[in-house]
Amino acid sequence: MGLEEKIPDSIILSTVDYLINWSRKSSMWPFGFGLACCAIEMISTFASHFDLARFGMEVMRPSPRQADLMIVSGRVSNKMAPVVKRLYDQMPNPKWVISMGACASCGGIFNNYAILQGVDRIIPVDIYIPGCPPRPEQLIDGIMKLHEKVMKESVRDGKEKRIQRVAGE
Amino acid sequence: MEQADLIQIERDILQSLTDNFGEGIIGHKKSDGQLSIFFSSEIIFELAQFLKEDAAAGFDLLSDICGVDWIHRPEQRFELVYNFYSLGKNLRILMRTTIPDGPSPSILSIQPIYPGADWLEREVYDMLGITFEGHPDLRRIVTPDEFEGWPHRKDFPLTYEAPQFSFNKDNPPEIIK
Repeated sequence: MGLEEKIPDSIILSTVDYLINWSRKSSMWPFGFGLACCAIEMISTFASHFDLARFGMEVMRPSPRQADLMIVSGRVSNKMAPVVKRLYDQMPNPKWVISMGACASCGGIFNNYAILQGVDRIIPVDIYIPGCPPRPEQLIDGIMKLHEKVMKESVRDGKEKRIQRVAGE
Repeated sequence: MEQADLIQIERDILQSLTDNFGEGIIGHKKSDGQLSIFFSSEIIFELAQFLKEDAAAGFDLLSDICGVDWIHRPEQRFELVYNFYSLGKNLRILMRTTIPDGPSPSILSIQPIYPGADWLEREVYDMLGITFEGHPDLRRIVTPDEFEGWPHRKDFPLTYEAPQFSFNKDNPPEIIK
Protein backbone atom coordinates (compact mmCIF):
# COMPACT_ATOMS: atom_id res chain seq x y z
CA MET A 1 0.00 0.00 0.00
CA GLY A 2 1.22 3.45 -0.79
CA LEU A 3 0.33 4.76 2.63
CA GLU A 4 3.33 3.04 4.17
CA GLU A 5 5.73 5.61 2.88
CA LYS A 6 3.64 8.45 4.16
CA ILE A 7 3.30 7.41 7.80
CA PRO A 8 5.72 9.26 10.07
CA ASP A 9 7.60 7.18 12.60
CA SER A 10 6.05 8.73 15.67
CA ILE A 11 2.58 7.25 15.21
CA ILE A 12 1.69 3.93 16.89
CA LEU A 13 -0.69 1.88 14.87
CA SER A 14 -2.15 -1.16 16.54
CA THR A 15 -5.62 -1.73 15.22
CA VAL A 16 -4.67 -0.55 11.78
CA ASP A 17 -1.73 -2.96 11.80
CA TYR A 18 -3.98 -5.75 12.88
CA LEU A 19 -6.56 -5.02 10.22
CA ILE A 20 -4.05 -4.66 7.43
CA ASN A 21 -2.18 -7.81 8.38
CA TRP A 22 -5.38 -9.76 8.79
CA SER A 23 -6.62 -8.71 5.41
CA ARG A 24 -3.30 -9.55 3.81
CA LYS A 25 -3.06 -12.99 5.27
CA SER A 26 -6.67 -13.86 4.67
CA SER A 27 -6.55 -13.36 0.95
CA MET A 28 -3.02 -14.09 -0.06
CA TRP A 29 -3.04 -15.10 -3.69
CA PRO A 30 -0.41 -17.62 -4.51
CA PHE A 31 1.73 -17.62 -7.60
CA GLY A 32 2.44 -21.29 -7.66
CA PHE A 33 5.77 -21.60 -9.34
CA GLY A 34 5.66 -25.30 -9.88
CA LEU A 35 8.89 -26.46 -11.35
CA ALA A 36 9.27 -30.16 -10.63
CA CYS A 37 7.90 -32.95 -8.45
CA CYS A 38 6.98 -30.67 -5.56
CA ALA A 39 4.53 -29.05 -7.91
CA ILE A 40 2.43 -32.20 -7.81
CA GLU A 41 2.11 -31.94 -4.06
CA MET A 42 1.32 -28.26 -4.39
CA ILE A 43 -1.39 -29.02 -6.92
CA SER A 44 -2.88 -31.64 -4.67
CA THR A 45 -2.88 -29.12 -1.86
CA PHE A 46 -4.96 -26.83 -4.01
CA ALA A 47 -7.30 -29.64 -4.93
CA SER A 48 -10.36 -30.63 -3.00
CA HIS A 49 -8.94 -33.06 -0.43
CA PHE A 50 -6.48 -30.67 1.21
CA ASP A 51 -8.21 -27.52 0.28
CA LEU A 52 -6.14 -24.36 0.31
CA ALA A 53 -9.06 -22.19 -0.71
CA ARG A 54 -10.37 -22.36 2.85
CA PHE A 55 -7.35 -20.28 3.86
CA GLY A 56 -8.18 -17.57 1.41
CA MET A 57 -5.95 -18.77 -1.38
CA GLU A 58 -8.87 -19.23 -3.63
CA VAL A 59 -7.30 -17.79 -6.70
CA MET A 60 -4.00 -19.10 -7.99
CA ARG A 61 -2.89 -16.47 -10.38
CA PRO A 62 -0.49 -17.55 -13.10
CA SER A 63 0.61 -13.99 -13.63
CA PRO A 64 3.17 -12.57 -11.22
CA ARG A 65 1.65 -9.12 -11.41
CA GLN A 66 -1.46 -10.32 -9.60
CA ALA A 67 0.09 -12.59 -7.01
CA ASP A 68 1.27 -12.11 -3.45
CA LEU A 69 2.89 -15.36 -2.47
CA MET A 70 5.43 -17.18 -4.61
CA ILE A 71 5.72 -20.86 -3.79
CA VAL A 72 8.93 -22.08 -5.38
CA SER A 73 8.26 -25.78 -5.60
CA GLY A 74 10.88 -27.91 -7.21
CA ARG A 75 14.48 -27.76 -8.23
CA VAL A 76 15.73 -24.56 -9.79
CA SER A 77 18.32 -25.19 -12.45
CA ASN A 78 21.01 -22.69 -13.33
CA LYS A 79 19.33 -22.08 -16.65
CA MET A 80 16.01 -21.28 -14.97
CA ALA A 81 17.45 -19.04 -12.26
CA PRO A 82 17.30 -15.73 -14.23
CA VAL A 83 13.67 -16.47 -15.03
CA VAL A 84 12.82 -16.99 -11.37
CA LYS A 85 14.53 -13.74 -10.46
CA ARG A 86 12.72 -11.85 -13.16
CA LEU A 87 9.34 -13.19 -12.09
CA TYR A 88 10.08 -12.33 -8.49
CA ASP A 89 10.94 -8.79 -9.50
CA GLN A 90 7.70 -8.50 -11.41
CA MET A 91 5.61 -9.25 -8.34
CA PRO A 92 4.29 -6.12 -6.66
CA ASN A 93 4.81 -5.46 -2.96
CA PRO A 94 3.84 -6.90 -0.48
CA LYS A 95 5.17 -10.28 -1.49
CA TRP A 96 6.33 -13.36 0.30
CA VAL A 97 8.26 -16.41 -0.84
CA ILE A 98 7.91 -19.97 0.34
CA SER A 99 10.64 -22.35 -0.67
CA MET A 100 8.97 -25.73 -0.84
CA GLY A 101 10.93 -28.91 -0.76
CA ALA A 102 14.54 -29.79 -0.32
CA CYS A 103 15.69 -28.79 -3.79
CA ALA A 104 14.36 -25.27 -3.56
CA SER A 105 15.73 -24.81 -0.06
CA CYS A 106 19.24 -26.13 -0.45
CA GLY A 107 19.67 -27.97 -3.72
CA GLY A 108 18.33 -31.22 -2.31
CA ILE A 109 20.07 -34.35 -3.47
CA PHE A 110 21.38 -32.62 -6.58
CA ASN A 111 24.84 -31.35 -5.79
CA ASN A 112 26.07 -30.81 -9.34
CA TYR A 113 26.73 -28.37 -12.11
CA ALA A 114 23.17 -27.93 -13.22
CA ILE A 115 21.06 -27.25 -10.12
CA LEU A 116 21.10 -24.02 -8.15
CA GLN A 117 21.90 -24.90 -4.57
CA GLY A 118 18.91 -23.27 -2.97
CA VAL A 119 16.64 -20.60 -4.36
CA ASP A 120 17.66 -18.27 -1.56
CA ARG A 121 20.81 -17.55 -3.51
CA ILE A 122 18.78 -15.37 -5.82
CA ILE A 123 15.62 -14.28 -4.00
CA PRO A 124 14.86 -13.69 -0.31
CA VAL A 125 12.82 -16.49 1.22
CA ASP A 126 10.42 -16.26 4.16
CA ILE A 127 9.55 -19.87 4.93
CA TYR A 128 11.51 -23.01 4.11
CA ILE A 129 9.58 -26.25 3.98
CA PRO A 130 11.72 -29.40 4.03
CA GLY A 131 10.64 -32.63 2.47
CA CYS A 132 11.00 -34.54 -0.72
CA PRO A 133 8.25 -33.80 -1.49
CA PRO A 134 6.58 -32.30 1.56
CA ARG A 135 3.15 -33.68 2.15
CA PRO A 136 0.23 -31.31 1.64
CA GLU A 137 -0.18 -31.11 5.40
CA GLN A 138 3.39 -29.86 5.66
CA LEU A 139 2.79 -27.26 3.02
CA ILE A 140 -0.30 -26.10 4.87
CA ASP A 141 1.71 -25.98 8.08
CA GLY A 142 4.29 -23.80 6.37
CA ILE A 143 1.58 -21.51 5.10
CA MET A 144 0.15 -21.27 8.60
CA LYS A 145 3.55 -20.20 9.88
CA LEU A 146 3.70 -17.63 7.15
CA HIS A 147 0.33 -16.32 8.27
CA GLU A 148 1.66 -15.98 11.80
CA LYS A 149 4.67 -14.13 10.45
CA VAL A 150 2.44 -11.80 8.48
CA MET A 151 0.34 -11.07 11.56
CA LYS A 152 3.45 -9.92 13.40
CA GLU A 153 4.37 -7.39 10.76
CA SER A 154 3.69 -3.72 11.15
CA VAL A 155 2.75 -1.15 8.61
CA ARG A 156 5.08 1.34 10.24
CA ASP A 157 8.29 -0.58 9.86
CA GLY A 158 6.97 -2.26 6.82
CA LYS A 159 8.55 0.46 4.73
CA GLU A 160 12.14 -0.45 5.47
CA LYS A 161 11.41 -4.12 5.40
CA ARG A 162 9.79 -3.93 2.00
CA ILE A 163 12.65 -1.91 0.60
CA GLN A 164 15.14 -4.28 2.14
CA ARG A 165 13.32 -7.14 0.65
CA VAL A 166 13.33 -5.64 -2.83
CA ALA A 167 17.02 -4.80 -2.56
CA GLY A 168 17.72 -8.47 -2.04
CA GLU A 169 18.72 -8.38 1.59
CA MET B 1 36.84 -61.91 -36.32
CA GLU B 2 34.90 -64.83 -34.92
CA GLN B 3 31.23 -64.73 -35.73
CA ALA B 4 29.86 -67.63 -33.83
CA ASP B 5 27.05 -65.90 -32.04
CA LEU B 6 25.84 -63.51 -34.75
CA ILE B 7 22.53 -64.14 -36.41
CA GLN B 8 22.41 -64.40 -40.18
CA ILE B 9 21.26 -60.89 -40.89
CA GLU B 10 23.98 -59.43 -38.70
CA ARG B 11 26.53 -61.49 -40.55
CA ASP B 12 25.24 -60.17 -43.85
CA ILE B 13 25.46 -56.61 -42.69
CA LEU B 14 28.93 -57.08 -41.29
CA GLN B 15 30.00 -58.69 -44.52
CA SER B 16 28.67 -55.87 -46.67
CA LEU B 17 30.31 -53.31 -44.41
CA THR B 18 33.70 -54.92 -44.63
CA ASP B 19 33.29 -55.30 -48.39
CA ASN B 20 32.59 -51.62 -48.80
CA PHE B 21 34.91 -50.12 -46.25
CA GLY B 22 37.64 -52.64 -45.70
CA GLU B 23 40.18 -50.97 -43.48
CA GLY B 24 37.68 -48.68 -41.85
CA ILE B 25 35.92 -51.45 -39.96
CA ILE B 26 38.19 -52.39 -37.10
CA GLY B 27 36.26 -55.08 -35.32
CA HIS B 28 33.00 -56.14 -33.83
CA LYS B 29 31.67 -57.44 -30.56
CA LYS B 30 28.40 -58.98 -29.52
CA SER B 31 27.40 -58.68 -25.91
CA ASP B 32 24.01 -59.20 -24.28
CA GLY B 33 22.45 -59.83 -27.66
CA GLN B 34 23.60 -56.47 -29.06
CA LEU B 35 26.09 -56.15 -31.88
CA SER B 36 28.67 -53.34 -31.77
CA ILE B 37 30.88 -52.58 -34.73
CA PHE B 38 34.07 -50.58 -34.26
CA PHE B 39 35.18 -48.30 -37.05
CA SER B 40 37.64 -45.50 -37.53
CA SER B 41 36.34 -41.98 -37.34
CA GLU B 42 37.35 -40.81 -40.82
CA ILE B 43 34.75 -42.89 -42.63
CA ILE B 44 31.76 -41.75 -40.62
CA PHE B 45 30.13 -39.76 -43.40
CA GLU B 46 30.31 -42.45 -46.05
CA LEU B 47 29.31 -45.04 -43.49
CA ALA B 48 26.20 -43.10 -42.56
CA GLN B 49 25.30 -42.73 -46.22
CA PHE B 50 25.77 -46.42 -46.79
CA LEU B 51 23.71 -47.39 -43.78
CA LYS B 52 20.84 -45.19 -44.80
CA GLU B 53 20.65 -45.77 -48.51
CA ASP B 54 21.76 -49.31 -49.04
CA ALA B 55 18.76 -51.60 -49.36
CA ALA B 56 20.43 -54.50 -47.61
CA ALA B 57 21.33 -52.42 -44.57
CA GLY B 58 18.37 -50.07 -44.47
CA PHE B 59 19.01 -48.35 -41.13
CA ASP B 60 16.65 -45.46 -41.38
CA LEU B 61 16.42 -44.41 -37.74
CA LEU B 62 19.24 -42.87 -35.74
CA SER B 63 18.16 -43.43 -32.17
CA ASP B 64 20.98 -41.93 -30.23
CA ILE B 65 24.52 -40.64 -30.28
CA CYS B 66 26.29 -41.26 -26.98
CA GLY B 67 29.70 -40.14 -25.91
CA VAL B 68 32.00 -41.89 -23.46
CA ASP B 69 35.07 -40.38 -21.85
CA TRP B 70 37.87 -42.89 -21.30
CA ILE B 71 40.25 -40.63 -19.49
CA HIS B 72 42.90 -43.23 -18.84
CA ARG B 73 43.72 -43.70 -22.55
CA PRO B 74 44.36 -40.28 -24.10
CA GLU B 75 45.03 -41.53 -27.62
CA GLN B 76 41.49 -42.90 -27.84
CA ARG B 77 39.86 -40.76 -25.24
CA PHE B 78 36.37 -40.10 -26.53
CA GLU B 79 34.24 -42.93 -27.78
CA LEU B 80 31.14 -42.12 -29.78
CA VAL B 81 28.38 -44.69 -30.01
CA TYR B 82 25.93 -44.25 -32.87
CA ASN B 83 22.76 -46.19 -32.25
CA PHE B 84 21.15 -47.12 -35.57
CA TYR B 85 17.86 -48.95 -35.84
CA SER B 86 16.25 -50.53 -38.87
CA LEU B 87 12.48 -50.37 -38.78
CA GLY B 88 11.97 -52.90 -41.54
CA LYS B 89 14.21 -55.55 -40.07
CA ASN B 90 13.77 -54.75 -36.35
CA LEU B 91 17.50 -54.68 -35.96
CA ARG B 92 19.55 -52.38 -33.77
CA ILE B 93 23.24 -51.88 -34.33
CA LEU B 94 25.80 -49.87 -32.38
CA MET B 95 28.56 -48.25 -34.38
CA ARG B 96 31.44 -47.22 -32.15
CA THR B 97 34.35 -44.98 -32.98
CA THR B 98 37.07 -43.30 -30.96
CA ILE B 99 38.43 -39.78 -31.11
CA PRO B 100 41.83 -38.94 -29.64
CA ASP B 101 42.32 -36.33 -26.96
CA GLY B 102 43.45 -32.86 -27.92
CA PRO B 103 42.62 -29.17 -27.65
CA SER B 104 39.57 -29.59 -29.86
CA PRO B 105 38.50 -33.12 -30.69
CA SER B 106 36.29 -33.23 -33.72
CA ILE B 107 34.49 -35.50 -36.14
CA LEU B 108 32.33 -34.97 -39.20
CA SER B 109 28.68 -34.35 -38.60
CA ILE B 110 26.14 -36.71 -40.11
CA GLN B 111 23.34 -34.19 -39.90
CA PRO B 112 22.96 -33.87 -43.72
CA ILE B 113 22.15 -37.56 -43.92
CA TYR B 114 20.23 -38.13 -40.71
CA PRO B 115 18.48 -34.86 -39.79
CA GLY B 116 17.78 -36.22 -36.34
CA ALA B 117 21.47 -36.02 -35.55
CA ASP B 118 21.07 -32.27 -35.12
CA TRP B 119 20.18 -32.17 -31.44
CA LEU B 120 21.96 -35.43 -30.64
CA GLU B 121 25.26 -33.96 -31.77
CA ARG B 122 24.53 -30.72 -29.97
CA GLU B 123 24.11 -32.67 -26.77
CA VAL B 124 27.42 -34.49 -27.24
CA TYR B 125 29.07 -31.16 -27.98
CA ASP B 126 27.57 -29.63 -24.87
CA MET B 127 28.51 -32.45 -22.55
CA LEU B 128 31.89 -33.57 -23.89
CA GLY B 129 33.17 -30.76 -26.05
CA ILE B 130 33.48 -32.74 -29.29
CA THR B 131 33.11 -30.46 -32.32
CA PHE B 132 31.05 -31.74 -35.22
CA GLU B 133 32.29 -30.23 -38.47
CA GLY B 134 29.59 -29.31 -40.91
CA HIS B 135 26.91 -29.04 -38.29
CA PRO B 136 24.52 -26.18 -39.16
CA ASP B 137 24.04 -24.81 -35.64
CA LEU B 138 26.46 -26.19 -33.08
CA ARG B 139 25.79 -24.62 -29.70
CA ARG B 140 24.92 -25.63 -26.19
CA ILE B 141 21.59 -27.29 -25.66
CA VAL B 142 21.05 -28.30 -22.03
CA THR B 143 23.43 -26.14 -20.04
CA PRO B 144 23.07 -22.34 -19.95
CA ASP B 145 24.65 -20.47 -22.84
CA GLU B 146 27.32 -18.85 -20.70
CA PHE B 147 28.40 -22.13 -19.15
CA GLU B 148 32.10 -22.87 -19.32
CA GLY B 149 33.43 -26.36 -19.37
CA TRP B 150 32.25 -29.72 -20.54
CA PRO B 151 30.29 -31.30 -17.71
CA HIS B 152 30.41 -34.98 -18.63
CA ARG B 153 34.14 -35.16 -18.96
CA LYS B 154 35.77 -37.08 -16.18
CA ASP B 155 37.99 -34.16 -15.16
CA PHE B 156 35.05 -31.84 -14.56
CA PRO B 157 34.35 -31.48 -10.82
CA LEU B 158 31.52 -33.70 -9.68
CA THR B 159 29.86 -31.64 -7.00
CA TYR B 160 28.92 -28.01 -6.82
CA GLU B 161 29.77 -27.27 -3.25
CA ALA B 162 30.21 -29.22 -0.09
CA PRO B 163 26.88 -29.70 1.70
CA GLN B 164 27.14 -28.27 5.17
CA PHE B 165 25.46 -29.86 8.13
CA SER B 166 25.79 -29.06 11.78
CA PHE B 167 28.09 -31.96 12.50
CA ASN B 168 30.65 -31.00 9.88
CA LYS B 169 30.32 -27.27 10.13
CA ASP B 170 33.90 -26.79 11.21
CA ASN B 171 35.54 -29.06 8.66
CA PRO B 172 33.38 -29.28 5.56
CA PRO B 173 34.16 -32.01 3.04
CA GLU B 174 36.10 -31.21 -0.09
CA ILE B 175 34.54 -30.76 -3.48
CA ILE B 176 34.62 -34.13 -5.22
CA LYS B 177 36.66 -33.74 -8.37
